[in-house]
Amino acid sequence: MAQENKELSSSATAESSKWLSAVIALTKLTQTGNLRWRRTTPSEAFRTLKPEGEIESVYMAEFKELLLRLYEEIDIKAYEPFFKDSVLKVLGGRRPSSRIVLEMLSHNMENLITFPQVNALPGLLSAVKYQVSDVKNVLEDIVKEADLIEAE
Amino acid sequence: MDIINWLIELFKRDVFTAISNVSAIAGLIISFFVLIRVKRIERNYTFRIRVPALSQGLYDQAQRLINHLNDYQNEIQGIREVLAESRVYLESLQEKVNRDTRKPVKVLLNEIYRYSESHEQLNHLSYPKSFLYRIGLYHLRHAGLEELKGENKRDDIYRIYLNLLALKRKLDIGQEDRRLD
Repeated sequence: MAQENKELSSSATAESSKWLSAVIALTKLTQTGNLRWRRTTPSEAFRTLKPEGEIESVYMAEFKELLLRLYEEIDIKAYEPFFKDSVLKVLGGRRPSSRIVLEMLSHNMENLITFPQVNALPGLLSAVKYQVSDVKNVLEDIVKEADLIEAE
Repeated sequence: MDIINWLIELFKRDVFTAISNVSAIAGLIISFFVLIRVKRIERNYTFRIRVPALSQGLYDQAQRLINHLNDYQNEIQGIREVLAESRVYLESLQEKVNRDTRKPVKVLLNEIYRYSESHEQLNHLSYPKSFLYRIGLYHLRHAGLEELKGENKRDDIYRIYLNLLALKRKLDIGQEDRRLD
């Protein structure tokens, strides 16, 4: 039984490491500026596909012949208890669960692949948000403005 | 057969002495198995108590690392700090995991040692250098530490990030397996 578990675990690790490498490669392309993302508001049609989820922003990018769609889906109905595996879970409040979804789409917006939940997705989302909101230039502008005010 | 003949000889000589001899040997064997079992329980206990926190700590460091990579050239100092903190987590983890998991931990540690000062590096210093280091005339940073500037170094940091996340995944699966055991 233990041996069987170990074999299953190692094949699962090998499989998930392929997806992990792919997501990290996308993160690297994003951070080096070779993959450009844009923010879009989710369409009504898209929202109706996800009735139980709340989606704030959807990020899209073109990758070769395909489209990439990235978003965070907050499941407001399926709440997670604050204290897992504990007697305290009956006392604590609850928080909404969320998951980050990365999809590969065809040009007519047909879903081809939904990436599995790998632990590199939060890093990709953070890199995309950093690129789209142009944080670096905003911070530089703030510093320049502060210097100008001080000089006056 | 030899063992049985030996036992018969023992009983012929003196029954009480024979019983006490056999009991002593049996006691020794049982103690040995109990010792192995206790060690295993201790390791499982340490794993279940400490490893989840260390694994989460490593994941947090991985998230910090990827955030620093958003602005690589200006965040090199931040990256160094993250690597130094990750090193502490990994060194602690190395003592608590089984042989299967220890190997990726070691690989990751060796990659991180290239970019941060460590006790391991100190131990590898030859005599005159180690003496000069102690009196402050020799700095490890100049001796073996690789500079982080350059595209290929950036790739190294991405590889460390990948290995940190892969290790976190391996530890999570290990915890699930132990729960089943």
